[in-house]
Amino acid sequence: MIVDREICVGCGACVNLCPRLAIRLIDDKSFIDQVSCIECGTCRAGCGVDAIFCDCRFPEILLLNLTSDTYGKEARS
Amino acid sequence: MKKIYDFVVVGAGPAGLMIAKELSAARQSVLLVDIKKELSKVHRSCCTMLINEPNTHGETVRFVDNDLYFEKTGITVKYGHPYVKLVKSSRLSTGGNKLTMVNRENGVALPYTKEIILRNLLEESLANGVDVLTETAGIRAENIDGRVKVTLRDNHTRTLKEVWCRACFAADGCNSQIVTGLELFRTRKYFGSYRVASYFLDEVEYPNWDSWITCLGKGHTPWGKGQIYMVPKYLPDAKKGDKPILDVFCGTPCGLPAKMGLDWFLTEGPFREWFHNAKIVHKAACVLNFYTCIMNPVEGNIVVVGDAAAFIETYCQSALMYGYLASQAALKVLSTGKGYDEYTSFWRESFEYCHPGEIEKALQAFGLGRLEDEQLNYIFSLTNDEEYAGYVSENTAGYVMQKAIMGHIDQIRKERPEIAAVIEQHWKSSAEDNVHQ
Ligand SMILES: Cc1cc2nc3c(=O)[nH]c(=O)nc-3n(C[C@H](O)[C@H](O)[C@H](O)COP(=O)(O)OP(=O)(O)OC[C@H]3O[C@@H](n4cnc5c(N)ncnc54)[C@H](O)[C@@H]3O)c2cc1C
Repeated sequence: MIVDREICVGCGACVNLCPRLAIRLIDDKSFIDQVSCIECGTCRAGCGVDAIFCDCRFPEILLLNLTSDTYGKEARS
Repeated sequence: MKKIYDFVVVGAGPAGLMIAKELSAARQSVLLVDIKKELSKVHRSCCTMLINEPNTHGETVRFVDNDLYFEKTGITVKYGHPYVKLVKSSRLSTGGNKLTMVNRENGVALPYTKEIILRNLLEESLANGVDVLTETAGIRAENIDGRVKVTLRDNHTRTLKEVWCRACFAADGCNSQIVTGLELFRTRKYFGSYRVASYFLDEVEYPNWDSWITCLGKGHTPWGKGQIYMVPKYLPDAKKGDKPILDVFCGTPCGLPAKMGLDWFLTEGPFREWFHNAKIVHKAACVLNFYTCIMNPVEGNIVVVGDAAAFIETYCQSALMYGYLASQAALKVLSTGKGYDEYTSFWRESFEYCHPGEIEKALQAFGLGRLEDEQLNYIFSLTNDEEYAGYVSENTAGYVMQKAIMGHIDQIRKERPEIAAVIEQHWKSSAEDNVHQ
């Protein structure tokens, strides 16, 4: 999830909503750590001013998982 | 920042600041922590009306010499800024008809400016030597061997810090982070979420400067759900003689975008002409996850205060009061080893939503939500020219409205029997519900 800092009013609601503690206020606007975010959407569903949107990192990751065969050997044995 | 304090307060809203001020005045070492950068700025939606109806949450609060005076607690909180005296509280239908409650003598509610209260309390706290950590989140509080370990996280560096204290106050508001980590959180039941977006508007062409307005009916928002409210108030930099601005806000059940509802109301709603030239001077928002109140707001040496122990409805005034009482209780515990029992039982008695059935009653919304806009317009056309004594208060407004409408029930039965049937059915069944509880 990404915060549009132009729209964010800095109410801080998403900070405590995030189950991954991935959100902080930087200069009184929300900021989401991309490393910690799991795209669950809790913050987006709660934002009063719709400042949070999904940048959809996951389709790429999904695709990666589908094409790679990391655990293939174990799975077949 | 030191490693050990007498007290750590998480959250610098009205509750947290009051606690910090009181404990520091009693010469205790206090650390106050908040995620915000500028503590006295308010970005979270709040109408900040003084709910002046006597005995609100067990206390009667009024302005004396422009400061907030708490009659029973006997405390005064510094204000010294203009406030608005609203003499009317109206329910407004999409057609512009109203049901109005009036209190010309005392006002139905007195909107004031939250920033000023926060700023004054912060100044006093700093003067008393409170250590303040801004841009720092309270993550967790744990009772360990009779003391409390509080874990904090710096907003910028993400580094965790530990600080120890005799007692920690969770005053971090309605979505409290500290509370979710406590055992007592398991006693709570979740009953819904609500999103709010609000704009402070200048240059509104508006006929209701003396009123608190609740818009009733489906046609105020694009989805037929959610509520619009309007309240005049003064900005923090207002001077004597300045005009108030209008705080307009839209609340929606989660899932619906509050800001979209608000934008729609201002540009396409039934009263859009009031806002043709309006300018947005401030924006705020919030999300409220409603959980039932914490009945025992003390776990070991961790004390939960204000909205953190409830949902929004403690109000700023009572967040101040509960903050004061919690700080006095903590001081008593220091000297005698006991003191929280009194605080806990006062909380349970005075905060109406701790009483069984009160939340359910508030959620029923007086049954008028079941009517179509045209039907509401009809009912309010009967009450348009009348005034009923009342206040802005969820606790009593419902009964006043019920009485007002029942005063016309013979006429409604005759002219619009289908509406009379809906109303009477609802009020009959809610009366029965109350008997069953
Ligand atoms: C739409 C709306 C309308 C309202 N209207 C009124 C009204 O007319 N009159 C009235 O009196 N009240 C009103 N209220 C209620 C009022 O805002 C609250 O009851 C009051 O602010 C509660 O004070 P508090 O100190 O408990 O919490 P808050 O004021 O919420 O303060 C909590 C503080 O904790 C900080 N914080 C949050 N999380 C953390 C964390 N993890 N770590 C550190 N700090 C944190 C926040 O930044 C904030 O400063 C309204 C509320 C809403 C939502």
